[in-house]
Amino acid sequence: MELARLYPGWVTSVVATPQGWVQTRRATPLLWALRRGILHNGYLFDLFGTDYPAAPVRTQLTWVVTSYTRAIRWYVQAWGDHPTSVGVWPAAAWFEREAWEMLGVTFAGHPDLRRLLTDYGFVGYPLRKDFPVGGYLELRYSEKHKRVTARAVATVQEFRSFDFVSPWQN
Amino acid sequence: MNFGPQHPAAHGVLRLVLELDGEVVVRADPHVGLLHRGTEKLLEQKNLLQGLPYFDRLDYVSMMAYEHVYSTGVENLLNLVVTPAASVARVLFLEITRILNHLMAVTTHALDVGALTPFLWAFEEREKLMEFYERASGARMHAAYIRPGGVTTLPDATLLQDIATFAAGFPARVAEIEEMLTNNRIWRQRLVDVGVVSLADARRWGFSGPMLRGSSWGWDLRVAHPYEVYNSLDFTVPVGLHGDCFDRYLVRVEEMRQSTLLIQQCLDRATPGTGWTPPTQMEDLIDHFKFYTSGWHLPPGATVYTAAEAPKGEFGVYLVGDHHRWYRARLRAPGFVHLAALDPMVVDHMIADVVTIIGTQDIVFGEIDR
Repeated sequence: MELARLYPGWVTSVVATPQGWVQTRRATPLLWALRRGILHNGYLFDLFGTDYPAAPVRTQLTWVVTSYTRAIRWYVQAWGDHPTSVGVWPAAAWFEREAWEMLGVTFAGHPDLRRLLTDYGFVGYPLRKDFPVGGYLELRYSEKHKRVTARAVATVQEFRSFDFVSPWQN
Repeated sequence: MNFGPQHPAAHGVLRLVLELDGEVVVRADPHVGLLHRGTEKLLEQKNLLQGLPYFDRLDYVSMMAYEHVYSTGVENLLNLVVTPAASVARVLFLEITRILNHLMAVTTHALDVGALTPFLWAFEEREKLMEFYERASGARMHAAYIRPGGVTTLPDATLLQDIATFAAGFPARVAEIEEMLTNNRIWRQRLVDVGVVSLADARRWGFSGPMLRGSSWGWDLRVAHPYEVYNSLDFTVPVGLHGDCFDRYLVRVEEMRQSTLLIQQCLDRATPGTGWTPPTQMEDLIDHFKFYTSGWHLPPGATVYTAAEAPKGEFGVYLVGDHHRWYRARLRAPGFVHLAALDPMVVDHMIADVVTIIGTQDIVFGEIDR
């Protein structure tokens, strides 16, 4: 694929399909190239992280860049913290806020890295694999204090997870 | 100043913190997340079929468009091919969904700006469309109708007949709504040259759907990356000229007309279904039970990203398989991207225009907060 030819220093590997999956160590110059490059005319479609607790750097980031002029979509993937791409596309601002609050991955130079979807004062990174689905705190209205108070989650039934791996298959 | 979260013009639970200079907005800071349900986290606990109904509940105004993206994502992951009959039924209901959404978008926008009547008329039409939903799937809103591999059951002949009757009469309903609004002096004063988005800005902010097409860029995934049977159907993609709220209104109205044409073309090709027969043989019953309880096997590490043109813009789904559930499900909501650009859109506008601009963004919090 032409990306590896054009930017050999930045691209580690490319899977050549109509939708290009690009592995890189330094995402920012590549993102600039995808936006500015005469061939590409890309816009930021999506930016998100995935948690792999066993990996050396646990968060994998994916920038999804779609071309406004050609029927191509690129998936730029890199691991760990990165400088912010708000300068490339302002649309990255909220995506980075979300990735930061959900997975704890930071974006150096982000103008406004605050919590976005979770509650004010929320502690923890909900999309990490070690975060329980039920969370740690639950809110209830306290008649005594006349306000909403937080307490540790107390569920009557313990969390059940079924795996359907059949005993007959390996 | 706080705008919302209980303000009816905030279209749900948007807490918008406005910094004002007199009546002019200096800065707008949307505080979202009041409807956050952790759908992405919940999907990691669910198998293939259990995950589907969450997509109805993302954008609860255009339900089937979102379950369709999930279903195509699963199909791309597992290399499934949908039969032409199911594909036509999908497009039929996708376009019904588009009309459902745009009726809501246009007329609640009008309601916010002060015109009550079109809202009442449109909801009568929405009622008919949701009846079609109900007859096809059993549910008025959260249909779970478009499923990985096809649809639950093909619509039967009487339903197709009734949709045809609706489609024949619907352009007149659109004309009635337009008659009330398009040349209305107040409507024009409130919308023309308000919330102007230049094409360069719309691209930098990652706009899609009517928000981008209002800014004079004819970009529609139904044409650009054709899916289902769209490339064999005849329709045009309306495009605005000035990028203001009025152009986006006109784009949505024209899209409703185009959707009606698409519905009629799908009805010409649709195969009437004969309903669903429950399994009677023991082996079939076991197979059915296994499929519904444990779901399909999703190869670990298999990854797919799929996007399609939802009524509000481009909705994308990223799925990573993990045996019988998802390792990671990422939902890219168009409204999230649009709301992120609310601040630059409303700056230097009067406070009354904030309502107009929120309305034109067609915001639904189910998808933004996820």
